[in-house]
Amino acid sequence: VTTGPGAIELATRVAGFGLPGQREALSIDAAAWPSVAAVLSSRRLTGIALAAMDADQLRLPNEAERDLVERHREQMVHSLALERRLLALGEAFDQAGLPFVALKGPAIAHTMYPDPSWRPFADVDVLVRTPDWRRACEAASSVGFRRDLPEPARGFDERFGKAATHTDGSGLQLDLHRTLTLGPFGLWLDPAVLFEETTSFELGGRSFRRLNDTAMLLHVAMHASLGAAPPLPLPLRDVAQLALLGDVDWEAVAERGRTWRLAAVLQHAYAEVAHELEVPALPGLSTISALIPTAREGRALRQYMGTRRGRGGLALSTTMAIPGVRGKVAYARSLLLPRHEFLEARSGGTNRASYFGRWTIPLRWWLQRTR
Amino acid sequence: MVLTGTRVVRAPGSLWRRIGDGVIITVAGSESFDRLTPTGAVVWLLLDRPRTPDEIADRVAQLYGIPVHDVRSDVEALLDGLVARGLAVHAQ
Repeated sequence: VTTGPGAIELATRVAGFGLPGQREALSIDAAAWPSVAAVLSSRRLTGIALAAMDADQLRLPNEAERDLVERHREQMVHSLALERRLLALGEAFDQAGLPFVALKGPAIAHTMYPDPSWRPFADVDVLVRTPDWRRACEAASSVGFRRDLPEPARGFDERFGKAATHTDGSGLQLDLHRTLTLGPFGLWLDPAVLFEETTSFELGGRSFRRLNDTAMLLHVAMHASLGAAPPLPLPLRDVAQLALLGDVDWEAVAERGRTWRLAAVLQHAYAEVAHELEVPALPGLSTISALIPTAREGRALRQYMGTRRGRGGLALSTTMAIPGVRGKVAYARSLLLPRHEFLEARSGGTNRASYFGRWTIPLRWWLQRTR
Repeated sequence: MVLTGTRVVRAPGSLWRRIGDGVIITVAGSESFDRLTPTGAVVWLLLDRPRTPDEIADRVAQLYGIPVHDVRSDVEALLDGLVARGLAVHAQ
C-alpha cells in the first residue's frame, strides 16, 4: 500500500473532526481507503476517524468501516496494555518513594478528549526529577523495562539528556524523561519547576500526577513543533484540544514563553494548527502572537525543522545552548567519543561499531563550509 | 455467583475503551483482554456505579424494548463472568 500526499491530506482532514469551523463531511471510496487507512493507523488517528464516522462526518464503504473498527481495536489494545504497565510502574515508583509525572498519552487521552478512545498512544512517558534519575531507571527495571541504549558517557543523562527509552519483554515502551524535549529548548526550561505545576487524574483506580493544563499546553506545543518535521496531525490536535478545553493561564504561558524561550515554538505550533487543522483562531492566539521570539530561538527552531535535524544539526544547536566552554566540550566529547557499549548498542551489536561514522558528520560539515 | 440483591460495580483497577458499539476491558495485573458485544457494553457502562442485577436487567430490557425476564439470565451470566475475571466486584 502506498501512502501518497492525497492519503496524508485526507487523514489530516480527519484529524480536524469536531474542531471549530465549517467542515464538510468527507467521503473516501474503496480504492482510496487502503492508503488512507494506513496513514490513519500509523498516525494514530483511528479514534478520531471512528468518532467522525459515528457522526456521519466520515463516510466509508461497509468493508472500510469494518477495517477501521479492526484497526482501532488494535490501537486500543496497545493503549490499554500500556496503561496496565503504567499502573505497575506507578506501584514501583511509589514503593521507591519516587515522585513522577505522567506525560502525554494517558494524561491527555483521559483529560482533554471527549473520550479516551479518541487518543491512542504508542508508549508511556513519565517525567522524573533529575536527582532521582538513577533510582527511577532501577525502579523501571524492577518491573521488567530494559533500557534500549546505555548513556554515551557517565553522567550524560542528568547533565544533557532528555529521556531514555526502555522496552519490556512484550515490546511495550516507556520513555523515562528528565526534561520535556531534546536539544536547546529542553535545556532552557527548568524541569524541577514542572513538579510544582501538576494536578491529578484517575486511571485504573489510582491517582496519577500530570502536568496542569497550562504546563501541558506548553508541552504539547513543544512536542508538536519539535517532535517531527513537518509536525504530525495528532500532536497538533493535542494543541487544539488543550487550547479549547484546558483551563489555561495565558499570562503564565506568556511568562514561560519568555523565560523558557518558547515564543517561536508556541507560534510555530499555533501556525501549524491553523494551517493543517484549519483552526485559525484558537484561544490564546493573541497572547502567543504578542510574544517576540529572539534570534537565538529562531535559529534553534530551524535546526529542528531543517534537513540537518537528523544529521547533527540538533547536536550543534544543543552545544550552543549549553552554558560555559567546559560544558560544551563535555557534551561534544560525549557525542564524538562515546563509551564503546553505546556504540555497540547503536550499531545493533554488529561489528560495525566505530567512531568513524560519528566523526564524518562534523567533517562533512567542515568540508561543505570550506568549499 | 452474583446474588439477586447484591450490587456490582466495575473493579477499581479495570481499564477499558469503547470500540464502535462494543468495549474492550482489561485489569491491572492481567495479561488478557475481554471484548464485549454491544449489549454487553451497555451492561458495562451501567456498572459505572453499584447496581443490582435486577436494576441492570430492567435498564437493558427498557433500552431494547423486550420483557425483562428475557434478559435477566443473560445479565446475571455476564455479571458472573465479569466478577470471576476480576473485571467487576461486589460493592460494599
